[in-house]
Amino acid sequence: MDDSTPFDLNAAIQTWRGKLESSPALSVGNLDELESHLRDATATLAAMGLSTEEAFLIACRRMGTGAALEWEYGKVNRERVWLDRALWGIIGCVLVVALSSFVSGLTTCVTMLGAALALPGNALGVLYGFVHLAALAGATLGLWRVCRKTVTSLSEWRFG
Amino acid sequence: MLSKELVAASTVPLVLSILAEGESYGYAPIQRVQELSGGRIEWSEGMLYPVLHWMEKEGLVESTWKEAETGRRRKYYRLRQDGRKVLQAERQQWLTVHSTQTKLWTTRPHLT
Repeated sequence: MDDSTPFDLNAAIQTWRGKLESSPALSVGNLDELESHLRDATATLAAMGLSTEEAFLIACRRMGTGAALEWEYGKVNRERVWLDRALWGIIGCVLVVALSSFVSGLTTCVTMLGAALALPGNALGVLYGFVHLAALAGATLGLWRVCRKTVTSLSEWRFG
Repeated sequence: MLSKELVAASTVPLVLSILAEGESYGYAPIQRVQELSGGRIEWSEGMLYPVLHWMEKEGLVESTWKEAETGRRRKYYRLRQDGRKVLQAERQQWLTVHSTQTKLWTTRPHLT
C-alpha cells in the first residue's frame, strides 16, 4: 500500500454520502443512519487488523451498491420518490411551454423582419416555415443533449 | 447459505426476536444474526435499515437517536406492543413449519 497518500476516512465518507444524496429515495435521517453503520463496520474491521482504507472498502461493499440501497429505500419512502418524479414532470412541462414560446416568438420576429424588408408573400411563407422548423429542431436537440448528459452522469455511479 | 426468498421471509421475525431481547441500534442485530447462524445467514447490511423503517411505519418498533459514549449518534430501535403480537404470531407459524418438517424428516431419514 502506498503510504505517501494517507487515507482520509471522513473525506471518503463524504464522497460516499455525496453520491447517495442526489437520490430522492433516501432522506437525510436515512443517510445519517447508514453513515453511522459504515463507521461502526469500519471500526470493527479495522480492529481485526485491516488498514482503515481496507476496512472502509469492505464495509462499503457489505453495505450494498448505491442502486440496491436506492431500490430498497424507494419501497419504504414511496412518497418522497413520487414527489420527486412529480417535480421533474412539472419542470419538464414548464420547459416545453418555455421552448414553444421561444420558437413562436423567434418565428414572429423573423417574419416581421421579412415583412419590413417588403419580401413577397411566398418568400415570407417559406421563411416562416423554415425558421419555425429550425428553431424547433434546435430547441429539441438542446433539450435532448441536456437530458442525455444528466442521465449518463447519474447512471455512471449507479450502474457503472 | 439461505435462498433469497427465505432471507426475505425470515428478516422481520429475526429482527423482532432480537429486539425482544432489548433495544438496539441497527448494526448490533446484523452482528448477532451472523454470530448465531455461524455466518450462514448473511444480510446485505444496508437492506436491514429499510426493513426497520417499514417496521416503524407499521408501528411494530419505535426509534430514538442517542449519543454513544464515543460521542457518535446512533438510532436505537425498541419493540412496541404490536411488534410483540406480530412476533408471537410469527413464532407460531415458524414452529408449525419446523415441527411438521422435523416429523417428516424423522420418519424418512433418507431425506436428511
